[in-house]
Amino acid sequence: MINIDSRTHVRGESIYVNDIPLREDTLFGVVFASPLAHGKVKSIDFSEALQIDGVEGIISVKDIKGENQIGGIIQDEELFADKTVDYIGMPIALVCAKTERIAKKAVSRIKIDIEELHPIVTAREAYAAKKFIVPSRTFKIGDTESEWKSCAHIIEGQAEMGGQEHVYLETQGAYAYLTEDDGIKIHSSTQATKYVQRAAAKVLGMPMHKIEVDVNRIGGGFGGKEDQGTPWACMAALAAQTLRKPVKLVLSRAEDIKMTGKRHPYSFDFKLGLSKDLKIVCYEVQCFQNAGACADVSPAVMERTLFHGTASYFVPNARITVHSCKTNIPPNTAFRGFGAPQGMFVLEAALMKAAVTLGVDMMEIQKKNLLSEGDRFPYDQEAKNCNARKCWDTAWKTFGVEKLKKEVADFNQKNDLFKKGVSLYPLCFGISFTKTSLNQGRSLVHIYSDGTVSITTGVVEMGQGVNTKILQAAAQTLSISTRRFTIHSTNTSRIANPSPTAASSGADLNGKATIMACQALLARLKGVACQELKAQDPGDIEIKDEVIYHKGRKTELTWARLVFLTEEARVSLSEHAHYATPIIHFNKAMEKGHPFAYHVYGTAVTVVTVDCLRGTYNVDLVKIIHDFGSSMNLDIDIGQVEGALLQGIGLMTIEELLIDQTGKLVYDDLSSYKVPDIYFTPRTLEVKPLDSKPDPLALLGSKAVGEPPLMYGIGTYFAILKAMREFNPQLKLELWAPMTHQKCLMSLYDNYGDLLK
Amino acid sequence: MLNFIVNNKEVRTELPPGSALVDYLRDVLHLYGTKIGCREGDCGACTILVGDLKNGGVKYETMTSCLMPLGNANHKHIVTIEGINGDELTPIQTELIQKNGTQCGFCTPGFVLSLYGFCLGDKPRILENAVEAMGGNICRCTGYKSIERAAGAIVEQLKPMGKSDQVQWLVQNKFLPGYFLEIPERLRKINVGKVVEIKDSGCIIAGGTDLLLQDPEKAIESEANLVFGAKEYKQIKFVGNKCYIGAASTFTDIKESKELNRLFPKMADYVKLVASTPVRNMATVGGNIANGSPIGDVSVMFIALDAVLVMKNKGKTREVTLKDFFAGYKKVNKDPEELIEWIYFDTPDGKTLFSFEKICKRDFLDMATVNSAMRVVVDNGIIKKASFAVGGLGPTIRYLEKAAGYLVGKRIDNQTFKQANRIAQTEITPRSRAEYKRSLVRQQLFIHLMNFSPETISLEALR
Repeated sequence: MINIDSRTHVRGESIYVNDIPLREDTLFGVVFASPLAHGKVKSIDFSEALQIDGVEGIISVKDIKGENQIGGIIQDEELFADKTVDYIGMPIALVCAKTERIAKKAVSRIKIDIEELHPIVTAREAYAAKKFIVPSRTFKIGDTESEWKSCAHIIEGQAEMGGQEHVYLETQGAYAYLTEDDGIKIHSSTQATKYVQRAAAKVLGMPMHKIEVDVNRIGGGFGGKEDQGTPWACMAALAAQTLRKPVKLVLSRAEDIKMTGKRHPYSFDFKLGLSKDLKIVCYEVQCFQNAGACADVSPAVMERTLFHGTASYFVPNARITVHSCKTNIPPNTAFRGFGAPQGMFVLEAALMKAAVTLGVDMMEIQKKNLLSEGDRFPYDQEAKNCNARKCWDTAWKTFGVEKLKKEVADFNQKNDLFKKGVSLYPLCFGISFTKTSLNQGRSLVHIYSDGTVSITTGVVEMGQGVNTKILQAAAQTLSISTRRFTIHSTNTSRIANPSPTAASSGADLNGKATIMACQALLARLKGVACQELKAQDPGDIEIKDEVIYHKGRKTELTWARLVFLTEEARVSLSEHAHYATPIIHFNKAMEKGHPFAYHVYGTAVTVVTVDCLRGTYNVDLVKIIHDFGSSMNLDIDIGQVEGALLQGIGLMTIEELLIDQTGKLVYDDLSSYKVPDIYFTPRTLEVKPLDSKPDPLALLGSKAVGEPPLMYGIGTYFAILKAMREFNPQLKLELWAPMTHQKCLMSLYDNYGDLLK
Repeated sequence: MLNFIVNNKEVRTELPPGSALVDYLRDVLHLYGTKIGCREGDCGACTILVGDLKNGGVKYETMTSCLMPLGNANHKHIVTIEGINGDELTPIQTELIQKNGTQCGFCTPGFVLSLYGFCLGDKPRILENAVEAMGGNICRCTGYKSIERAAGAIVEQLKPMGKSDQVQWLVQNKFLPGYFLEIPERLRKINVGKVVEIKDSGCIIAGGTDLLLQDPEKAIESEANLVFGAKEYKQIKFVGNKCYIGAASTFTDIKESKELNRLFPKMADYVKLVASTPVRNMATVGGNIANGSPIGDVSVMFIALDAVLVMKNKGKTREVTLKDFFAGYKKVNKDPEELIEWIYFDTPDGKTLFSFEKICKRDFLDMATVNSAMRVVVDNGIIKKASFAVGGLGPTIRYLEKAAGYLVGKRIDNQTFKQANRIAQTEITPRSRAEYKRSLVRQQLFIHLMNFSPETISLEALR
């Protein structure tokens, strides 16, 4: 089934926050933010800005009736900077004016005096200064200390992985206005209506029931609007409350990039021990997470790094530690993969270093150590229905990896100026929020008397096609036409307390709740049908393709008629259902448990060509065997794989998040921060579903697909590195992602010093 | 008073001609299908079609409405996604849906319009050109392959379309609504006898792609002197042995120019590295030079050709060598109201060789980290003349006189390269990422020489 939103998308008729028709008197907000990464605020002077014609007010900490606090996991985040500023781009005030242009002009007239303090920019600096968001955590399995001596080879090293800007095409934004009796309605571009509602209530000093948050859809989120849709919504709501006028706040791209957090940069120290036959015996890693100025979701991101520290491999003795380091950059946040790419990258880097050091093929080490059925992860869960080896073997055979390797070797022999590299990347990703309590979904289903149906769930549509999947699940459960459905906006008045749309879990949690609601409705409808048909047992009644069957025999009774009769019989045609994932649990004190409903597996084959004169590269081919369980919608699922893959390739290659010593982001707009364009996408891309079993905890057996495929991009990094080594076998192995054009060229030629002679 | 057609409706406005078209479309006309993704021409979400009378019909090109001055819409046909929509989906919309070419949908109208730019353009209707048409559209969801597949299907559907009367064919085949057939006549009515009139004063605005990005307030508040599309300066002509390029020529004009591609066989490939299709349709040669960018691609090319600018100020004309035109970072030796009319250079003869290189963070739609151009005249294997311009090393584009001077009288071989590189390295002082930029200068110098004489120079020179 095609994405139900696609018709309005291609006609430009889909409505995002910035497209909502405005109420008269709407004011436009522009944020005034800190120009310095760290300092004490001595004074702020708004007077000149306030004199500009059309400026209606400047909202700052003094206007907050509740608390100046929007922190989620930890209450450590101010809405507006008060006494100190902690990062460049930290909001200080919101200028509200009759037009955005006036507001912008006024922002430029605000004067601020800040006593500058030394900023801490990198995770390692913060670690040295003992600045942490939360205490460090360690996952352990086996006994590394005693097993090092049994290792034939020990490989140690450092690795780095840069952050990533989300570049959701729709920037952050919100539109807020007063409703009757001092209520507030907020249209927000958020993945988490609950977070917006909860934080706004706190800031505005209002009870949650007075605040209605509505999300029609968002123009991409990727995690960037899980926690960070909140500040803008709170500011708009606070301004609306204070000025008693509707206020719209939509960030410009430059503001968005400067003010919002990103994927966490990580720095690593690793130590890997292999046996003589290349089995992983021991693995230790210290991960230094650059969390930014406040917690946001960093503690949860840190947790997922721990969970995925052994990636798709079985490691009998492991010790994985993450330090969440507090720095003076914008609070880093959720981003598709959520700490897993970092944990997976460093192990892969260690394997690459081992392969180079020992002079063996990296694929040999990878293959020998893949997870098998029943292997335990460091957090004690067993790998069940483990498809790691099956994906690898299927990819190897289906895509002719032997032949590819030979072709690449032949090419490299014949060419000096261009070199190719081929890599395989095995994927294993756990599905569920690692915080068990978030694993709940909600759905409200109304059947109208004409037989049409509306559904509201807690999930936010952001292009991932979740609403289409929910509609499919409902239509299948009720056995009626998909044309009878509308999926409504995500709204706190219809669905209370929803978990954020995150962790790839939106379809599973809210789809299962929808099925539960439909099943309850179905039971009531069957009861009415039973009476109408004068049958004995509702269990004998079945609805198939909008027709009612009794004991397998078609009756005259249709869906529409039955709905009408149900209403006449004063039986409810509405149902709200709640789903909580069974089985899962986790004991944080022990760092053990069964946190994931299931795992997703896959293997990606990547071939790249490096232009050895320019230090640039192309991705020639990516071919993927992916474990969808039993996909309920391959169109949507393959779209998720392809999109996540390219985002992952961008992360590992051209997307460079550079922060200078003053805490300033060096590439802070789309002309300097480059994401993949159409020319950058792999020349050949093929995604094939693994012949896999439906998973009972996945919606209709169809495994979650949002995040896992992003990590296939890791394969591109190592394919490039392999190609580079073909040109310069002596190159210094710097395991530092992303592999920018700069790093590529500088590694290809290590004779830089000769330049000046 | 500006007067033009938006979709099927004639509009008039007195808003400042230097304001961005996208704001007029969204805030005044409430056409919300045109999205704002970046306001810097780097995402394509605001892509529209701009139709202008040409040879009796209307020629349509895509432009990014965030960087397009409202005044440049005057007397034109502006088409947004709403102007494409009919009761039924068009084949382009259908293919994007069928191939799952849309996820969050925010970029989608821009892609649709870019594909229309491809359908309405003059270039061969092959997938490569459809992709180029979408080179300015960023999608963060799909990974582009599904969009590429949709484009492939559209290429197939367009096969029966002839080279002329595209609009007729597209209307007949339900790609475009019927009103497009009346647009030429309607445009003629509002456009009768009107040409772009260049004034003696005011803020000179050409394509607007730099000004609306760098200083939108100035563009709105100044009295605008709109020069975009001025026919007298939108041409390439030859006078004696000089080649004159009109300053109002767009990058697309340069890329598509038969004459320039004859003189410089790889010109189209070079210009493809500059910005993206919709921006190339707006950005002008004069604008690229006047903004004084230290990485201006056109400036780098023309400095290596020892080009000369012809400028006019209040009726007076003067000439200045391009390499002496740049005074500092984004500063040029020009009165603000002085108009660049022409740029000219010696028409290359059979012995002249030219090469341009640009290396960026991303191969396409990116600013150069370092760009460079070299021109040599080679006779019997000996370099007779050489010039070498490099951008990205400091506040202005550098003309590496000593390195170029050294090359004169030499054969192209590894030794020559090595020595030229040593000299070039003494002439440059990159301010940021110095090691990388020095390396890029070496690599580009090597590539230029290799382009000129692949048999006599080898990779060994770099080791």
